[in-house]
Amino acid sequence: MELNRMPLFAWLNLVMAGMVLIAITPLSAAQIMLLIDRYLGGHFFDTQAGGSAVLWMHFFWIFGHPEVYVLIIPCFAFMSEIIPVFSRKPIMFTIGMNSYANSFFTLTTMAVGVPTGIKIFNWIGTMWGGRIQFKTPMLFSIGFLFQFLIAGLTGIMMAASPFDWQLSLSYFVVAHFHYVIVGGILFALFAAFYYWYPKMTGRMLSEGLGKWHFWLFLIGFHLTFDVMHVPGILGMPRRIYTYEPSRGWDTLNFVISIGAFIQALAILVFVANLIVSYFKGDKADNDPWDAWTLEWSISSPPAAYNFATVPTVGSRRPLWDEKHPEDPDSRYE
Amino acid sequence: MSSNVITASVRQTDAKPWVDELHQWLATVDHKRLGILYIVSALMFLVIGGVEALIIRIQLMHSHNNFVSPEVFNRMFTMHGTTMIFFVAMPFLFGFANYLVPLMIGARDMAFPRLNAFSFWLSFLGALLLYFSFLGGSGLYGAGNAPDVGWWSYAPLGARAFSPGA
Repeated sequence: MELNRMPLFAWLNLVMAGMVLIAITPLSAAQIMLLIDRYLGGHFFDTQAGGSAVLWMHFFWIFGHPEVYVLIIPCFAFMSEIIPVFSRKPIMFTIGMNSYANSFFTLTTMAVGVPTGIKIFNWIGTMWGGRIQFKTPMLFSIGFLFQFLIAGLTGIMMAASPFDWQLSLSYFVVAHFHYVIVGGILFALFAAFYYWYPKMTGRMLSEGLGKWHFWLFLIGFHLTFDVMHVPGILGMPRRIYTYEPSRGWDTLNFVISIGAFIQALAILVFVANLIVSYFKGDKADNDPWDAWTLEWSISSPPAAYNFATVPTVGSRRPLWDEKHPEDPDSRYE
Repeated sequence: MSSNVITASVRQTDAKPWVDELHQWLATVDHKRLGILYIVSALMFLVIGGVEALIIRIQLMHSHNNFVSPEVFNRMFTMHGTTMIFFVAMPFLFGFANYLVPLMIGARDMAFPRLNAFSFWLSFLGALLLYFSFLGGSGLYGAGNAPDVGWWSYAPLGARAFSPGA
């Protein structure tokens, strides 16, 4: 396989792996320093002895900020595999908004934050005019798109310094980053579960339970985290143990908690689906979604050796080429 | 690409097949099995981290609630944060990457399979060690002393004076 025929999924995970190397090492270094402080009488973070407390904060956030991208980039990878397959868009996908543009924007614009918007347009452009199949993986992918967009918008709100002074360490921040992590990352992960579970186990996850899981989780998520922005704006700090009734936060917090329980119920449905489908799910064939990448060319689940012979890859969609010998992508490369 | 089957001679089956099966999972260096181990351990911690979130939310359900003590509340939001980032989100993503990348590029395994297995067991045992802190040590408040200073663990809260046992 030539590098320019490697799927976007593999590219994005390569980027993620590189960022893990950069992001985790400062955290490990800081933890070693903390160990030295705690057990060997060091003073790295001990302000009383000339150490610096801010040093820990800097080390922590050298890890913490890239960590968000470490988590979100593999989710972009899931989206970039799942959305085209369920949009049934071979032509636009390869000729219009192609994956070169995708990887270009991913790789170059991490630094500025605009790119995420471009990627969202990219995915919507892929769906545009496609024959969208609303299977569970696609539902979660669409949920991801909208929620990730909103999470990005509240992020921009906090990027404005005056706003940040007001909202820093408030529940608004908690709502924002849960929007990223739950509304974005977790939704993308659920999409990945429903999409690749058949490959991993040889059984399909139940679509019925999957739709229950999706709608319950969607409702619970929005009930909790949409509402959570409001007490933040009203001044509720994060990490507080309790609050005064006169603050007027009671109803809001009650609604947030109800949402949390609906999410928990959805997770129960999901776990039940994973277990029940493992034993009783419909048998999955090699390629249940009519997809294009190599993992769908082998049995579900794959044999220990994966490929008996190393496959020959003529384009970025090798399985499409195999299924459509009359019009393979490799002809256009 | 098709007709991709290698037939191997049938292995001698153990008297206790589940011991054999367990041994195969624990000692595996196969990227697919390691991917599944990552994902299953992340699922387990997703439920644990979710229960911690529910405890936080029950406590905050109305004003002047005392469902848990302030100390336990602090432990819950700290452990919830650490668990969800390090033992749920990252293992989930690493699990899928581990499973899928070799399959997508037509490879038979990762470049360093044993290192790959080592990596999983380090992260999984690290997670168990963190949760052991609920049981081990005397701690500030008597029973157990899981971290309670937020997942950032800002200095000087991470120092011995403020987090004696963690």
